[in-house]
Amino acid sequence: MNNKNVNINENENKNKKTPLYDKHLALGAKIVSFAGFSMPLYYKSIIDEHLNVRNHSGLFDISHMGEIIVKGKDAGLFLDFVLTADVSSIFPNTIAYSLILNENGGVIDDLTVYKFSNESYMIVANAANTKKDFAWIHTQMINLQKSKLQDQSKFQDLTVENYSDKIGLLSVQGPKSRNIIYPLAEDISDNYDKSKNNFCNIFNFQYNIKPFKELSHFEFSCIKFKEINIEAVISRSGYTGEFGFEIFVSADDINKLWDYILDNKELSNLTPIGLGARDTLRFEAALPLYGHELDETINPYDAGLEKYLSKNKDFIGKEALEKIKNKEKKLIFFKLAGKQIPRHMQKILDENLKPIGCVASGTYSPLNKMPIGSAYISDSNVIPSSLKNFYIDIRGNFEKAEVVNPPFHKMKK
Amino acid sequence: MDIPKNFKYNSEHLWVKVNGDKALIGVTDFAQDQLGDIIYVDIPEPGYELEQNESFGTIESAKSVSELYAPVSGQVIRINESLKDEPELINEEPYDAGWILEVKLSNENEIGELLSKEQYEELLNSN
Repeated sequence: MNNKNVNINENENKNKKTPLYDKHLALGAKIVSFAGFSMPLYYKSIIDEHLNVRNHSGLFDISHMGEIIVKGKDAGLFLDFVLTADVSSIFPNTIAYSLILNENGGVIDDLTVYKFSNESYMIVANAANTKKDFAWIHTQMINLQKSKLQDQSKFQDLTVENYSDKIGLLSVQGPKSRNIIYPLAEDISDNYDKSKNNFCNIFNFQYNIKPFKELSHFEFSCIKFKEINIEAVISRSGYTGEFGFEIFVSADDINKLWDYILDNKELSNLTPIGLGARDTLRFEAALPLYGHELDETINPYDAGLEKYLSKNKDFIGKEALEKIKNKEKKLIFFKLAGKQIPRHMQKILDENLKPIGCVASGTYSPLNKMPIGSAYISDSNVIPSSLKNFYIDIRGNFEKAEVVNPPFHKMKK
Repeated sequence: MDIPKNFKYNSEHLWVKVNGDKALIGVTDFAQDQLGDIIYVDIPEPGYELEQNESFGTIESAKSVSELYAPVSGQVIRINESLKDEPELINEEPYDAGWILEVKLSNENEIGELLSKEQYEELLNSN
């Protein structure tokens, strides 16, 4: 069979592996190449794994994602210049979603920023972009430090370090996630010894940490897993549209934590989840994926992400964005009546079969049992808000599509 | 991996079950396992002429699309209508309820060119 869309096993030898690679193999995972990593696509079935996260809970190895730690007195000022969101002014122990732009306003990456204190931040980056992001951020730091125009005292107390190989990352997602995480974890006590070389000390937690059971969305805390005695940073966050946690742990400890959670899987009907369902889950929730809804040729207005552009400060790319008067393209979401699945870059045609755009993401919605997708409409004559129906050229078949309001996992049927 | 003895195979992971001058065609257990959850099968209607080694349709899983290459030549006389609503039958019973179509053989000599269970097994092991 001639497989057109995924290059299964190709380049697998050159790929990096997360510390959990052998666990995935032992669980019978189908391994694919993704962002330079050999990752589990699914263990048994994308659809079953997807529905298990929507109905119960699932465990994801997302250690391929990057962690860049930025520290120093000037860290906040620096990140405010490099990132589009106001990260210096958020509360400690909270997260901001942000974009990182090039000088033209194109999206280098989308990421989350964890603020531990005014002098300690962690950027969580897409696996495919971590190297690029780190190089870019590092270069900006050097340029600012050298710049004669800047006040000499600025940007001197600043370090940028790539911790991606040292930090492992698990995600537990789904409405029943509490049932497994609450009994297995405990808060780290107030008299926590900050002089010790423990995992949470990497981040220089400074302020009072909330009990982890009281965390709201986009807040985080430091915990210890009972019995195995492993420390972790836990945040209420995820990429599925469900209640859930993301858990940062030392790469040396992640195998023990993976086993500990799976040994207790009955607490929440938890199953391991591969990247296939991670993609269908994020897409039903209409969350963007870099390389599909975002890339360096797409600006935040095109992608509908203007609310993540701060009005209160200057940042790289802001000047270019201010010159963009008209939207060049617009992101829309759609469902199909037929059964063929639209794929990235397939053509969008109007009712006269004239090309007006391209598919960004296309997938099958396990929840709605139908193909769904997103597309960029780039024809300036089309008013996207008045667009109701169109066609997608799926390998020569013109499949009818209908514009819908996302997210798909809360769509009225 | 299940590979029934009384079936013939091509190197593109399709199976053939010969019955007189007719043959049932489907995809192998290995193929369905490689594809994962099958969402859609695009196959021709009865009357269409299959030509050996030519693509006659596509099979689509959540993550990929693959061409189906005809193991034998012949006219389609029956297609598996159940696959329209239950394409997952291919995952569940690839050699049985998950059959794809039936043809009237136009060249019975082609059967001899197909792989036996042992030869197909060898092909899978060599990859």
